[in-house]
Amino acid sequence: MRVPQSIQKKISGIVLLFGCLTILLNHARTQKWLADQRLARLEEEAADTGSRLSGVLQHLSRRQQERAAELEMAYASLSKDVEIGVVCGRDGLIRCSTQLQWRGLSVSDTPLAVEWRRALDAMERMTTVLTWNEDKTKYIVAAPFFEGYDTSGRAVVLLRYDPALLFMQVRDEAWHESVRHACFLLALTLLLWFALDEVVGRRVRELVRQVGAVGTSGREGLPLRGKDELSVISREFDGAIQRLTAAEKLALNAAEQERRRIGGDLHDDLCQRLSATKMKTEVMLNLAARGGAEAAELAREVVSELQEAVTAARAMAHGLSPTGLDSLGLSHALAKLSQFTRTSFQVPCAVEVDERVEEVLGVSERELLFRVTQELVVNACKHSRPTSMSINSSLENGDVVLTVIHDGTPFQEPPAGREAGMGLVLMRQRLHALRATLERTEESGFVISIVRIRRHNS
Amino acid sequence: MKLAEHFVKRLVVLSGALALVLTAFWLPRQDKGRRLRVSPGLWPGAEAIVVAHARGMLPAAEFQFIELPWSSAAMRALGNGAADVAVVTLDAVLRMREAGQDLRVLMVLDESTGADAILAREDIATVKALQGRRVGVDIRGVGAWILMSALEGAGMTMNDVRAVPLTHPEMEQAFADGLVDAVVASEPLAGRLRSNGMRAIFDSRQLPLPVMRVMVASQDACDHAGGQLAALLKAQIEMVPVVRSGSRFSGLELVLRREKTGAAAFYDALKLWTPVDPAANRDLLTGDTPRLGVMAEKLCDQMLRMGLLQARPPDQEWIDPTFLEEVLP
Repeated sequence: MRVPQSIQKKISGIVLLFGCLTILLNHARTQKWLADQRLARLEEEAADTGSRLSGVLQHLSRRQQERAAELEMAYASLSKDVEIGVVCGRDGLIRCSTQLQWRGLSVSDTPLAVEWRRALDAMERMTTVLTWNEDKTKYIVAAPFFEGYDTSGRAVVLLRYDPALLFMQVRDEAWHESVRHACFLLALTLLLWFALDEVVGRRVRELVRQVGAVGTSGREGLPLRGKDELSVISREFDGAIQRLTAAEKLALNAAEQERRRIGGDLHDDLCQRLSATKMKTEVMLNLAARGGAEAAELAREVVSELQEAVTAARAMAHGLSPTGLDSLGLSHALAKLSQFTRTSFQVPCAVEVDERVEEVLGVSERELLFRVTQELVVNACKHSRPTSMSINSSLENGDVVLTVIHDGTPFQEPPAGREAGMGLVLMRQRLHALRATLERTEESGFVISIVRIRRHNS
Repeated sequence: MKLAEHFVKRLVVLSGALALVLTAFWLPRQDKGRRLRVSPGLWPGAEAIVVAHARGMLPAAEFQFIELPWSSAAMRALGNGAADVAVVTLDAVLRMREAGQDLRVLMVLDESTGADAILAREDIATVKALQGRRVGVDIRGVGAWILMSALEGAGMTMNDVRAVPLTHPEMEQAFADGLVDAVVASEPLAGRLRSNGMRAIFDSRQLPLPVMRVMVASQDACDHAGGQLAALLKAQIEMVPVVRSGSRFSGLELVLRREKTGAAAFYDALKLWTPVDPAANRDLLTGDTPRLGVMAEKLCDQMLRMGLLQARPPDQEWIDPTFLEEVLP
């Protein structure tokens, strides 16, 4: 059996289950209560009928009104619970009966033969006997009366009630009530399900969407409105996310500043020193050329190696701190990046930056966007083997959109279960800090990566 | 699209809840414990269903037989809801319909061919001779119509006799006590009165319209106990040949005790009732203008003229051959 997973279904199911149990218990209780009540009423009616008939029949028999007595017994047969009723004297001969077919017979030849001894007992003591038979399936009434004015002339009204029909009706009524209760319960469960869906389920789904959006760098959505617990959770969560984003941004900025500082140190100090050493070495090379060929050769190699060290140190310094990003802007940094791809990977790269982009982005945002672009470009050069590339940045409906297009092979996501490289992880963090999305697509043989920084909540 | 789905889903849930609440309020009650209450009356033509009941063809769990010894009591029982089915004469059907009772004639059982008669002391030989005499009659039964028709045929009216209201069981004693000079009685009482010295001066064969006993049921019984009604008609059709066979059959003793008569007298009495077989019933009850309806119209005219009906019964359906058709081959 599948157990429902949602709280909404669990609560509805529990209410339904407890409701069903209650209905079952109530069904048994109602059936017993109805049966007790009806049996009490049957006993009451039997006592009344026996008493009334004995009084009337005493009067009629003294006046010898046999027909009227027959009519009285006929009307007794109208009761649905009376199975059989007879009037007979001590001789057991039936004077009249609820069913005309028994009249004139001896009571021992009728279905009342077993009850006859109770009737004799009642006539003997001249008191009405009201009792159930031995297996409690029939109710017996024996109401004696005097036939004439002599106390020896005694007769009895003997009635047998059958409660089978009564029990059948009780079962039917109890069942009917239970079905009605079940209908009410089902209706209430549906309404409860509906109310839970409106009050809890829908809001929980919104909250889940809000939480789920955090990891995908998408828009988190607004916190839930209202004053209930879910709204409080949603608002608290939203606040926590905002604080975390700010902290992440601060951390990235700090890292960026540190990189810039190291890059600056490399550029301003190490690169300068290396350049000076290289120049001195060149001087030494000229001097050595006059003195000896071997020394000159050695000095040439030192110069060459120093040149390579200077180039590498400058490249490192630029990678750590894109020079002029704060003063010369994003277009300058991207132009440098383009130059780097051409020299390092032999991939020509066109750059086009809308001037308005520079205006809407702050320095830290420009740095983050540059790093994201750098990662996209270097990754493409390393893994996609493009022959050409272009970088475009513009404003679209107020959003900053940066597009990297190349003609290499498409980007392949790391296989499931394998963690992404450090570059990809950092890029995602930067995208998240920018509240930006990254979309990768292909069109006409070109691989397109689109970075979109939303500037408003439309 | 999603909004529409959302709306439809909620609409379905709310509609379902509403439907369940309405079902709970108006859940029809199946009255399984209800038995069909039958009042067959006390006359030979009804003994077939009494024997069927005694033989278990009409089980006690489904059929309750109410013993009302005369027809006016059966009419009252049907009228006040104490009985669901009764066997009455056609004139009684008109009276009940005039009183506004919603009932249906299910079957014509038989036609009286001498079983209803005016019986008088030996010194009264003709209807004319009833002038100024005391005539015992069940004024709420078919006897009133028989007496008035007989008097009308003799050029007399009710004012020419002294009508004594009597029920059937009272007639024998009333005659023995000298309280009446004549009575209007049915078999087998009529047979017993004949053997006590009375003579028939008029019987149902001389009537302008036949006296028919029909089985009627309340509309409520037709609506809720169709199966039981069909079983009742089936038992009647099956048992009539047994009861009328002329030989002893299981249940004869109880019939004789009921009718307070011997076997020979019972069979003699039966001969004065001509049974209406299923084919003749179909002829009487079905068609665009059922023949029973035409006969009832003529009887209604007579009864209105005689003052036995105050107004024509409401023009509504009162013949229902559905259950008979169910059991006919």
